[in-house]
Amino acid sequence: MKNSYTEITVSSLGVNDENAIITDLIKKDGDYVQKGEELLSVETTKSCFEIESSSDGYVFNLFKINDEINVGQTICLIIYEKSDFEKVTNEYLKEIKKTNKTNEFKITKKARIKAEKNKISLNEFKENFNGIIREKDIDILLQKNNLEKNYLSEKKIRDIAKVSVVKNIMIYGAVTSGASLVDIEIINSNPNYRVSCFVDDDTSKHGKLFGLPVLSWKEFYNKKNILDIQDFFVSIGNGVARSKKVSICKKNGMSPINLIHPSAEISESVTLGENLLVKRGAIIGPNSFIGDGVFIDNGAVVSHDCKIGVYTHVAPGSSLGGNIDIGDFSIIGVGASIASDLTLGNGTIITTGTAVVNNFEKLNVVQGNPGHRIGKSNINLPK
Amino acid sequence: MLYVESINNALYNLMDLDSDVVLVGEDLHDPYGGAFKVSKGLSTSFPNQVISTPISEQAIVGACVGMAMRGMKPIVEIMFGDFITLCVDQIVNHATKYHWMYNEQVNVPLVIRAPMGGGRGYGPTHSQSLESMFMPVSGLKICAPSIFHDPGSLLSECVINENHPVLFIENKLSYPKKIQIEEKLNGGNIHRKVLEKKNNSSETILLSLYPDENPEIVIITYGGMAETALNAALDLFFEDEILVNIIILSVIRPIPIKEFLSEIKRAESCLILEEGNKLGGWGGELASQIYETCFNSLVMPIQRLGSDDSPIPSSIYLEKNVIPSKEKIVKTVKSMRS
Repeated sequence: MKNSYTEITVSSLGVNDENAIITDLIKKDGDYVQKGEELLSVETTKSCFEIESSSDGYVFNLFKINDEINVGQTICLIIYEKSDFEKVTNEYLKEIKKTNKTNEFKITKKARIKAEKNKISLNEFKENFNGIIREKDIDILLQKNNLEKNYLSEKKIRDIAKVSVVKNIMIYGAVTSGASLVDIEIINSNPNYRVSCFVDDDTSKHGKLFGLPVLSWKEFYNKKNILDIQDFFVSIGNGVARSKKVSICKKNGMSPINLIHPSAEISESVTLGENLLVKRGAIIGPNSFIGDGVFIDNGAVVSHDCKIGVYTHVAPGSSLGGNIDIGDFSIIGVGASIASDLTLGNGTIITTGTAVVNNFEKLNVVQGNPGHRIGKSNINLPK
Repeated sequence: MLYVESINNALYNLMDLDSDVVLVGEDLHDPYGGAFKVSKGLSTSFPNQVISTPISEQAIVGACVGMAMRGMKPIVEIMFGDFITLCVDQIVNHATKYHWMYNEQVNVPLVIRAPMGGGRGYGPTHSQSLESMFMPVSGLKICAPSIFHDPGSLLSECVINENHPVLFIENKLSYPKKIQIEEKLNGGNIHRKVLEKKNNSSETILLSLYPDENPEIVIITYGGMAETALNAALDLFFEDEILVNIIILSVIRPIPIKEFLSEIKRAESCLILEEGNKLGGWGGELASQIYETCFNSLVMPIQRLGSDDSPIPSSIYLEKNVIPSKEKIVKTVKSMRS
């Protein structure tokens, strides 16, 4: 390619000039020119002069009349063979376009090294201050990408990967307090989910809540397909009632989702059930098993190898040691602590602030430090 | 617009507005139009206001001091700034003294334009930057615009508003360059800001890559070195991400230090850059003033960069080693940090 043409450049113009203006194109594109013939005239602040061809060939001008040119700039090409003309000019123009494009962003050496190391393409920068990419900008992008990556692995745990279309979610249980807002917040933090409506059996709640419709189950059931809702989350505090609603929805062909706040930390080896609610800052350690419909509240800590029975509620700030087995439909009170290697039966209620150090059979209410039985719990265990 | 065009236009407008404005110097008449073509076309338009003189700088300045005292507005062109040595007596003992000696009854509104600086291989007596020689001369104002100023408007201001002698330094290498006075330069990378004026006739420019961030080093310079400093700052940023701001003065005597004191305080230290001899140069005076006013805000000592203590060689390659270059600035800034 390079052998088939000559570039004509402007050499030094005069003491006071670094640029000149093209006043006339003597040869037009495609004209044949001989060595020494005049190609074009330029004007500097002091004088006018003609630029001559340095070889024989066909002319291709890169500038128009009245364009400004700088010393050292290529102003036209002399292509030796007529047959090459089109090919050479096309490729030359393409090359210019390409170099212009790669110069769109300037990048510092440190940033370039970091970008190459982390395999970041510069196309990821859409807008940038000054048009310069520096190390800081790469760091910010990496941080963003990492967040996305973590988020993806969490989705894998929830086994709801491969979701690319936005899913409409129904929330069963409309609470006017912040509790429903928590659900909405978590759902909306996931770009694949969107809260569409609430369903509640209490007719006094029908209407609107947080700008979303609150329907009865019957109403919802009729509109389900029109609203394109196939997924649900039952957000009822009472474990037994929650379990009933989940089974009703599932019977009607809907599938439950898990609400896990992005700030919750769940070990990858944890087995999760469905219709789970894990709120802000909860921690679930390795090898744990979390049953269906469990609520793990803000800042609760579940250490390793724990088994939490279905529809149990672990209240805010409670701490569970390692290898604990908690029965179904239990309630662990706010700030309660449970020592390692204990077993609690179904329907156990641990009251606020209790320190549990012994095993308990089912349906006990435990209080105090050390925790002792103070009565029978009123949880109506399903048969 | 080119630097030379800006001055040429300003001279045209000044002569057009006021017939008392005269340009006096050697070889000014058309078609030659001065050694650097600054006066091109002026003698044709204003034949009575452009005076080409014999080769005698002392006579030129002496005559113009007389004209200025009698109410005219003379502008002197010294062909090469190096020859200003020939009129030092007129400047030091006459032009700058009469206002005091005659009890403030006499003003000498004289502007002496002098092209200074090297880089063109013109040799020891045509390449110097001698402006710092005049630092201790009371009553003299020294103006030295860079390509980041509009030299024409600064010249007009000196001619119209000043009642006392002004030495107007123009850098030879700046003449053919475009003046860059937009808010964003270099394709939007560089932000140009005019710092708040404390004195009407001075215009101090701040160039920065990230205006909201505090730089590590601030380079303080003037005239022809401004562009070199900018190139060095870009190199430092793109190679090592060292953030360097540049302060460019238009008036170097008296130093308008109040205008840029806050910018020095934002940085850890400063590098003072001048093209003239470092030994006994302008930078020494500036460094001393900075130490006196904001010593506590400096994290490390001020550094200075200027020409080596040597006559400027004729060979353009040797000349590059004597005058501060981009490479020298980069090296100095890096050594300041380590």
